[in-house]
Amino acid sequence: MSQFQRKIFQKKLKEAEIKLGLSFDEEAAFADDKPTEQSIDRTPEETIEKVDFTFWDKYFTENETFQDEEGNKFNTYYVPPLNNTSPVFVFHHGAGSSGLSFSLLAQELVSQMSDSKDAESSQSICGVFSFDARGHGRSVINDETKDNYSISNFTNDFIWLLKQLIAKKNLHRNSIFLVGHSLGGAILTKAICELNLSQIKGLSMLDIVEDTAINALKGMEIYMGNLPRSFKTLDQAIEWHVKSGIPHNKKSAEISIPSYFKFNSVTKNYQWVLDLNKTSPYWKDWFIGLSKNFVNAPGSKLLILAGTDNLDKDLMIGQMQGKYQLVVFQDSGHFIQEDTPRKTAITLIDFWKRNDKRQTTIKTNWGAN
Amino acid sequence: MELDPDVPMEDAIEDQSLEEDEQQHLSDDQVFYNNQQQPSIPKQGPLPDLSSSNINQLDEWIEHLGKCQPLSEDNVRNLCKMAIDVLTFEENVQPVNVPVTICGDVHGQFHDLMELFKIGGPCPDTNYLFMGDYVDRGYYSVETVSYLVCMKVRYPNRITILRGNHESRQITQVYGFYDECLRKYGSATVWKLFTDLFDYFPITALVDNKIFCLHGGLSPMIETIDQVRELDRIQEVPHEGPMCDLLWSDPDDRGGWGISPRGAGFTFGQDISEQFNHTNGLSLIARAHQLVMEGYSWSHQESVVTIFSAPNYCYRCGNQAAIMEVDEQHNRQFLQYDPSVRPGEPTVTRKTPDYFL
Repeated sequence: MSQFQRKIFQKKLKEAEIKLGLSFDEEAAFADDKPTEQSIDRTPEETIEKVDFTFWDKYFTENETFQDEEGNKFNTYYVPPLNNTSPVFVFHHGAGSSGLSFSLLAQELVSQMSDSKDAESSQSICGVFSFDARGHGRSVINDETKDNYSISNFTNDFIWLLKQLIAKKNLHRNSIFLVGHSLGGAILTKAICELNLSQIKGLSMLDIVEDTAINALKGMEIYMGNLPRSFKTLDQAIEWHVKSGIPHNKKSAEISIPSYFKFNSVTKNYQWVLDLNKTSPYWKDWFIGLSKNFVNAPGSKLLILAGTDNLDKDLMIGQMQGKYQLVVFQDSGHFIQEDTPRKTAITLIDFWKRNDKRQTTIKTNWGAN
Repeated sequence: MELDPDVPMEDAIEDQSLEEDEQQHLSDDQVFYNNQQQPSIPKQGPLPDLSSSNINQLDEWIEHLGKCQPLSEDNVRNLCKMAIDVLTFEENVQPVNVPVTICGDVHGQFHDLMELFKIGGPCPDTNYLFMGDYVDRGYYSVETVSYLVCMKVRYPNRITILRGNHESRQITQVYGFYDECLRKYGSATVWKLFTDLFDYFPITALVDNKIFCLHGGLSPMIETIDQVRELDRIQEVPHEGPMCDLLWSDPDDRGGWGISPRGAGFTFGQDISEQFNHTNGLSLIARAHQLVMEGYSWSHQESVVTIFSAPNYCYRCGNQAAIMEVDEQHNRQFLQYDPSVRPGEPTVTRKTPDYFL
């Protein structure tokens, strides 16, 4: 199909979907069909600064840039743990998302694990760490791997970041629990196998199943065609995401969605920070072998799924052999950490309590009689 | 009606704690293990004989269900009522005689259950002991559990049906039985009738005082079989505590007690199994709960056996199924089988989400 034919096809598809009520609002959908579109070739001036997401400090206490030797800059969010026996939850978002996707979950974890009921004086017991992956949010990659979105690159970035975090914040004695959403789950599964770090006590994946992900790839071309290229306002962008159910929770969308965009001062509209098309050569590799690797990964594992227990063969066998814990949130959409942050926090805290040796002693009455 | 030679003829003692009208719904808080609990004392005396009209009714239902057709809602209501009357006579540790054929998880795979009866011999000619997990995941949970409960009421001394971790209100709402009831009956009534009935299922069985049978495994709070008898089993499966452990635990290669990766129950090592068998004068612990590719699997130097009776579990796992025959001399024989040939399963339609945002 030529570029032109594809455009016509996509436009017709969009029109049909709007008629059938299957699609998002018309104005946003056709924002990219306006004549200004040609200006893309002129490399318009884009600014991230005009996009306001300074409200991160409601959910995290520190917003630091971690810069590696090649000059790559990772935007991070952090709440320190109470002391060196407190657990630290380390998050990895999925493709196209950002570190702020975990804002509400971080807030729930911190408030449910705080040492006092008095909000003023209370101090978080657990630590939380979230960041923008390469190409996402406010992270800036300088090196020649800039547009390389292979799972190895994501994994190497994460391993470097985690080691930096442990060294910078002196977390050598803390238990660490990794929590990855969608692609983030696949990255953390790979990282945990490569790291073999005894202080990592648990791995949680949020709504990711290898088979389902690979099947979803088939529909991606249509999905990408439906993706508006830009929005006039951030409110429209938020509206579109909530309508599409990514996430369903508007309160969370208002926090996370602005970080997905940059402002184009020539076209005067908001464009995606990450061009998802650039990631497409890597999609399949992101997920192949994920289920087997997850089941065989060291340490305790938790899989939280949205909707139904759509397990593939490897996950089904692993679950029926008791290799990991499975939890299903029927009332959540794909963005579990945004749609059901409270339930996710409760589940993660339970998971921590069961699987951190410092927290568990097994009571027995054997030999008592 | 099969005459039962095993139930001792004693004067019937009414046990108030098991009267139906005293059964209440447990709130979430009550579901957690309660230390103040009263043991479930079974009704004593001989099981009342079935009337000939009841026998005819049950035979009709069994024939109907044998064709994989669900009973009407009213019939399910009657069946569950009759089943509660039978199960209140059963103990937390239900005694079972040899010979008996011991079976593991079935999970709504009705056609494979029919295959099981072909391989093992028809009930009541063969005695059966099922170790739980009749519902969820497979497409015919309603027919499967209705059939087994019918057989239980019709031949109470020929078949024993224990409770598995899936015979629970909470689990069935996630893994399929609840949705299947809604689909087949248009309301949750049948689901409610069955899940209320599940509270009465015995949680363990003792074959000839030698083989301890249960769905999951051992509990760090249960050192002797007598301690199982002290539990109040007539309740929703709790989130923790001994009753939960018996339905959730797994044997493990590591010794001692361990945290279960499942999020409920414990893992127990060979030292634990050997000590339990020694303390209780047992030769074997037979349990289900874990998928094993050959249908059965020994662990802990033959102190524990796992039996799994759902071939090609959930239509995708590629495993064999097995049952274990125990004869009068306590010889054991495993019968393995593959999925039954059937007209075709409903294809699994999986919603494919957009994974990339």
